[in-house]
Amino acid sequence: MNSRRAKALAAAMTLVAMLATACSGSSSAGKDKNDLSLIVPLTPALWDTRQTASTLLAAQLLVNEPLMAYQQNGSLVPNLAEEVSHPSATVYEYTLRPGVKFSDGTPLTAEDVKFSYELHSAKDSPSYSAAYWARVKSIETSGDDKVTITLMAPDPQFQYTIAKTGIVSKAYYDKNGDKVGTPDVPNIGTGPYAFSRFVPQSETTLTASPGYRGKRPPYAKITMKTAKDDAARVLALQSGEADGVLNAPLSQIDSFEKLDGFSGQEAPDLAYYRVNFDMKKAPFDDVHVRRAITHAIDRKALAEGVFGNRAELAPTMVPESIMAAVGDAAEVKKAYEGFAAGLTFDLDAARAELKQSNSPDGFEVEVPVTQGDPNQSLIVQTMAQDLAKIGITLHVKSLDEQGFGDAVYFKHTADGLSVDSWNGGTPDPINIPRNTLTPGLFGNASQYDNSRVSALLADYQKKATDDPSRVTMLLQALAITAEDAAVVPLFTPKVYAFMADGMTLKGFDTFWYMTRWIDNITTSS
Amino acid sequence: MTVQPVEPDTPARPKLPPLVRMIVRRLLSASVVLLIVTVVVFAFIHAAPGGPEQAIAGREATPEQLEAIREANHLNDPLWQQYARYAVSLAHLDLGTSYTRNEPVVTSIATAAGVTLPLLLATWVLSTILGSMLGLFTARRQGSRADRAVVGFTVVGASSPVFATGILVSYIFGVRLGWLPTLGVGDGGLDTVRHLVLPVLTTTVVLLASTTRFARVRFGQVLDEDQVTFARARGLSSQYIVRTIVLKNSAVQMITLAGAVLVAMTGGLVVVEQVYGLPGIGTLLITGITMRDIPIVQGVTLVVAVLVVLINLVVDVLCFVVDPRLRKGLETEA
Repeated sequence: MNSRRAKALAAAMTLVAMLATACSGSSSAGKDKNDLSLIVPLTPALWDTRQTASTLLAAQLLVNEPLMAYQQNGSLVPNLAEEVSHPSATVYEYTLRPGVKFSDGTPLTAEDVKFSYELHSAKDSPSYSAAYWARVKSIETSGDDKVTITLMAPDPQFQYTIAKTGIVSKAYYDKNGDKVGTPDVPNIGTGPYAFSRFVPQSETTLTASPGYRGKRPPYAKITMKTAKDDAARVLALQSGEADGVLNAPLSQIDSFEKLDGFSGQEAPDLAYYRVNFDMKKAPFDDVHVRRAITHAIDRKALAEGVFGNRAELAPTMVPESIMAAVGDAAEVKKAYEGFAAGLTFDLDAARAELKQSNSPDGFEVEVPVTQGDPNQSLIVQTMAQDLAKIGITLHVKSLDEQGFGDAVYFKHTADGLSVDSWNGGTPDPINIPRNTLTPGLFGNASQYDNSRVSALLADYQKKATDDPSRVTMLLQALAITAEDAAVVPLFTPKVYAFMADGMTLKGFDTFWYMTRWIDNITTSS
Repeated sequence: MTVQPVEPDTPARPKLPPLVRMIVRRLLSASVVLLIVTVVVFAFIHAAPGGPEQAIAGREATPEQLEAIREANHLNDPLWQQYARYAVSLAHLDLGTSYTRNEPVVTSIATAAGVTLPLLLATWVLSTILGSMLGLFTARRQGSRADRAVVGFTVVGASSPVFATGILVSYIFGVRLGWLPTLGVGDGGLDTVRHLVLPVLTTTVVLLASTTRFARVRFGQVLDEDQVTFARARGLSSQYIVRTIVLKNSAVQMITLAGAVLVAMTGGLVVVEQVYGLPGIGTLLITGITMRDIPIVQGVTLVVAVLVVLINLVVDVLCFVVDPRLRKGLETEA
């Protein structure tokens, strides 16, 4: 064999050996019963408690525990707090559990708690929760284990804000500053897990914290990945690289249901799709135009066409079950029947309303939709067919998420008609009405401003959380909003999770990420 | 009689070699191009609706909060002031700090490059070398079954969108055979190598189509030339003909092709990164645009532009090195 051939052979053998090494093991190689791999909707740019909300809390709260823990039944129990008292409607006193340590071995003190909360309540804080913390008047400590928080006014949502806010180490932040939460300086907490690997906006690995004081978590390692592509999400499940997907995208439920070896769970969501009318813009400043459109939307056909059987018609912005849980069920039922009756699909009624308006012959309007939610475009295109019958022509304009945010929420540069989905941030029924009907708030895409509604919402917040009369106030506010046709509630979709056979996920619901959810997942032996 | 003072001989300025002068000229024009790139990218990112404050503060942000974020990041300053601040930072080789990641843009880019560079280099080497080999193989057997098979493969490869090829490759090797992972970048080391195999394979399949076809055409042209016919008539071996006539005469075109492939890949790996969930440069740019993370967008586009300029420069220099006719032209020009 001449030397050239020998070199070629050696090169070929090296290549084969490299490929064999690369392919060694299966795609799910290294899978251990103690490891859990999940696909989640989002991975943040930074694991800082100010930059995490909604499903991002699933990982954050396993590392940075809150003082109070949200339970699956909706209650809150002391977690890092040992005792909590509520001496007046605006004062909350917490006594810390003794002996709690951060994963670096330093003890948890009241100063850490104060610091953690001030990250959100500071005037220029970039916190996702700043709106909730803006209602705090003072945060004071006494001794090493007592924290007193005084609110400016009663706020039924505050207890949930505490349950969503992870506690960080002041000393660690003092030492590392803004670098905390980056891949090189992972955040530390007192929780059952620690961040061990983080690729911003892509994947996170948590490993069980060896010094954790409480119940040992069921998995030694959790990997949470975000797939940027629909097909990639399905392939990762099929190949066994991921054990499950949490908050699966609605547009992909059909695909997941057809996967062999996976079973799904569904739960009602505290989110709703709605049609917004910018009431500061013609022709939507005319109540007859808004009512005409309300009657020209076939919500049932939309729900079936866009979501199949995966959404329920929404009579108003708060699901009936959430409202009934804190109020008189009969009163709530009656009110909801009234809301539903006002949302009938009736083209004759729509034409009659339009005739009374300032645009009796109809009009054309450009409707922005965001690429981040493909359902929006489907809804608008389906709506357009019925609206065309009464002389209103819709043109779809696709924008990216920031462009959509600018057009609909911040600068209101859109023509005035938009469709979006709005999620509840806390389980209290006031959450969505407050965020979407209060003048000046981001969620108030309709720029709705009714002093009676604002007063009712303010009064609701002054009531004790166990006072059923507050629900009466909220129902009144929602009735006025319906009369004004400020928004058209469309439907409430469900939330979905899929897990591989052999794995069990218990109690999946819309606020799963606020609970210690990892205890609800088990792998059968 | 007047005596004219004798002018001292002014020493002639030493002339730079033509190739060096060409490089200096190209670098100067490249710096103008890069300046234009910074202005255009700056203008586009600021003209786009929506700002980073929305992404930073979330959808329950208060107007005061948004205003504070804009102030903190100088986003309320006149555009020319913002650009001037950016230009001064650039002059100090500082690409700024990411709004959303709280880390220097250089760090974000370096981390992402750790994913993209191995993918880019492996794909580039495979697609150019294999493409050249297949091109030569088919050029020497034009019209044969093997030629038709390879040409057929290249037609399929060229007509398949990258994402479709990616899904197919993932399905075969990740799902059906279960050999390789299909999502993410792995835990480093060999695990990362395993995660990069399918993206490399996908991109290579797609690129191989064009490199093979280009090489086949160019090698075929040289093989049809009289010098090859005379060489054969003189009894020279095929290997000698390929090495000394075909490869040498095709070198400039093949180097240009290799450069063009590299340039195309520098900006074109976005889709592959999205399909395989790789946190590379393309993904960094996409998320930067989505989140309106202005320093990230400016930093990535500038780095990519610099790379493209450098690749083109290296290609030109290599072409001058391998082709004496081009060198001669350069000297005549000088």
